[in-house]
Amino acid sequence: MASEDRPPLKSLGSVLVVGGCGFLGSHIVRQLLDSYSCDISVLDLRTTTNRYPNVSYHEGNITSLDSLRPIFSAVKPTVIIHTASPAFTSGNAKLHQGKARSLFHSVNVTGTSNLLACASETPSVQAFIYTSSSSVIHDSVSPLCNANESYPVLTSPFQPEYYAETKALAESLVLSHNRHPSSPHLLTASIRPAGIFGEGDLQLIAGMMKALAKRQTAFQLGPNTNLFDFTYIRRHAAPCRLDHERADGQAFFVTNAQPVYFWDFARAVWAAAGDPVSRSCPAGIWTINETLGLAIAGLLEWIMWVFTAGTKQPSMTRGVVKYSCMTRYFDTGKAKSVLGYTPVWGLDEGVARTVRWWKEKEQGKVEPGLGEKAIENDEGEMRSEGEKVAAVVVET
Amino acid sequence: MRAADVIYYTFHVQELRSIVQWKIWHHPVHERDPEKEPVSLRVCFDLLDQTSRSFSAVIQELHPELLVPIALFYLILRGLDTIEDDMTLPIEKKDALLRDFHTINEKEGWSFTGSGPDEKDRELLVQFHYVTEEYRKIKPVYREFINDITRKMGAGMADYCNKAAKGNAGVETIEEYDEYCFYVAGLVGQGLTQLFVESGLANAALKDRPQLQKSMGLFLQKTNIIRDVREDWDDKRRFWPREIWSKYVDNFEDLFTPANQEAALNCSSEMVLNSLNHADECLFYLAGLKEQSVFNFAAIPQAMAIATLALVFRNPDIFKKNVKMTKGAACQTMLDSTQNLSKVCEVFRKFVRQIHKKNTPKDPNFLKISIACGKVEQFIESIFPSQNPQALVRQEAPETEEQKKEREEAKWDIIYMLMIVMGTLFVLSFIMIGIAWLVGARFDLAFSELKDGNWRSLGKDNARKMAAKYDRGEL
Repeated sequence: MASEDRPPLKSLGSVLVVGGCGFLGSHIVRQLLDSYSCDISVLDLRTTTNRYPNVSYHEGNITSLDSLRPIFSAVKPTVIIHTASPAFTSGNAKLHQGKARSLFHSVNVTGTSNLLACASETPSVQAFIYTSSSSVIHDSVSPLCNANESYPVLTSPFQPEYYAETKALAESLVLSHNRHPSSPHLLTASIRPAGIFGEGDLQLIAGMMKALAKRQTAFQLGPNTNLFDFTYIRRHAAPCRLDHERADGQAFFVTNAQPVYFWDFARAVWAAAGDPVSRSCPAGIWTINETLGLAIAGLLEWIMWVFTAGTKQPSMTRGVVKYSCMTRYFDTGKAKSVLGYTPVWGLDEGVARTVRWWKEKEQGKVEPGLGEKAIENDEGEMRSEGEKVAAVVVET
Repeated sequence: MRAADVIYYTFHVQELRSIVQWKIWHHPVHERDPEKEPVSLRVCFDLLDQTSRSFSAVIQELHPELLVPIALFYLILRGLDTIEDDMTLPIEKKDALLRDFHTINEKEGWSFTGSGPDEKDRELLVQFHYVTEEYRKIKPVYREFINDITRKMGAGMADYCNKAAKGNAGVETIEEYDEYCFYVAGLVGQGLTQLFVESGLANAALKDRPQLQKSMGLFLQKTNIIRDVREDWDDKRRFWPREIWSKYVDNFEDLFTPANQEAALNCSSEMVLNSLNHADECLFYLAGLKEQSVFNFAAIPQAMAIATLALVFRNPDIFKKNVKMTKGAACQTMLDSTQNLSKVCEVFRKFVRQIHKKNTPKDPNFLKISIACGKVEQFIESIFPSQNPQALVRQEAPETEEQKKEREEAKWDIIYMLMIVMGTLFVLSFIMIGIAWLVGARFDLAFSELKDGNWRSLGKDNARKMAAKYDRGEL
């Protein structure tokens, strides 16, 4: 297993994790602490949660260049891992327009562009890893069957989600800075994760737990033949190498490389949480086919619209129906062959650990992660969203 | 045909159709010609028929280049198997026979009459000199391959028998389980691959993929071991590794107690999972076979194995009796697996989804089984992609600003049109009523009559009378 062929701790110099107090960022910080010898610095909007000893924390706003420069000159990073991003919200809601749009743009595009500007000016920087999203190639309607990096990145008008569009814009900025003549010292790469969950996650697992609390687990939308990719956040000592010759300037899909049937994953989570309905499956499950599901969801949306004047949406929307009937999995062959990526924790172990964490949180034993704060505060709290790349070794 | 079969096929006409189709439409890719064969070879094929009906049929359809070598290879391994299975032989004798079996191949006139009287393939060893006689006629390079595998398998079996003789009858660890399956089946995969590649009927790259060759054998062997658990246990044999069953029951025999059914099913699920993890590599291997008869020869057993795996998955009957596929289902699977790789992939997907459908979260391996099913489906998708990467942008583009403007304009056009029509109607009505009023129409009278409920037309005279009634004062 992992511990046997663990490579000797490799020095990475000074690593700056942007968004390192968030869900993903903090997991990366821990892995850097566990498996690498390096000086770790974290840049985040607020640095009160998910703190580790022996890490230097810097409060700063990536949307402001002036706030970044002093941090860069103090940290003198060799590697930058950029995981900061606002929490994803779907496109159809009213709240998505205006404020949310400008937030997505300012954090994802302006923020990334500012970080790249600082990285170009700082000669110590050798590598810049961006946490993109698998949704950059997805129109949120079509199936993705074993999609790989040859799939085109979607922008307007093919990309209906503004969030994904800003991630795509940021990614192209990052990749275009690779070995740019103005800063040949800077190598860049982008990681596109899919369906991240784990301890500290308050999106994917939270949604499923909400359905469980509402006793919605006896319903299944569609025939459950749709494979779906998820990614457990924790990794141990399986270094991804940003090799000079092959990896720089490129994007990689990263998942657990274990696509499963969508409802199987949900039921595994519910069953781990002790739901008797899920445990008895396939007995006692009501299957609603997609067309009927869409019709019901459409009706609910319409009723809700009438009674709340368009300010609220039902929990079962047409988007949710489509999503749960959708095939969405990726070919991670490129990350495996080029980066030497291997998922260490199986999906089943990930589910067990995450549900255990969730239960402890519910009983008040552990502190909630930063994610909760991000949901409560839509003022632009940075929240990491991204991949499980543990660390990046710069081969020089 | 038994009465029960008649009833079964009355309600499963589709399966009956498959049997008929297989009988009528399946034409052998190659046909052997017994007329031109020497007596010794004909005896060999008779022996083949006696030892295995199902294998015999596919072997006899093989390409002429490999027909005899593979038939003999099968008979030799079957001879080895017969000695291994024979409980009447003392262990010293068995050990020597197994380890020397590869030299026997080269010996003229060797036969063996020492098998127990109940051994079902006793006759094969009695007439084994026909096999060695034919063996010495095949190409030396083929003989070398067959001999090499016979030697390795004989040694592996001897080791296993010695261990069993010392009382360690069962397989302990999963590693041992894999090793046992490798000796009795994985090696066959290796030997056959060498024959396929040497004859030029398969992609030479297969020779360098020992993992794929091994999986071909292990998938079949492990699936049979799951299916035959009851039969083997009745024969006092156990192949399920302790490392797996001890997680569910304290003693192996507890699996067969109805009270432990749930634990037994969970245990069998882990066994199925262990086997299912080889499935994608079997498909990968099949992709390397070029010649149709070789493809059929290799694909039929694999397709039957995945079908069997779906049949035994979470099936409590495996602990009670010998579970068998119906003949109709078997024929359907054979029909589907003797065409091309894509068809075989469909067969695999079909049965993988059957497994997925029976999978339940109360099973401790629920998600692992789901992952294993997903792995097979993902592999199929990787060799037969169903999606074009450009598909997402080639779709009809969402509305551009210009189109939106056009649509808005079209909407207003309709509204204006309606307004104009309504306006025109209004103006015309106004003019007509106005003219009527000018020339003296009595709308006041019409209204009051309508108010009183007189909706019918009055006629000229009555109208005059009525007008007089209202306008009396003026007269």
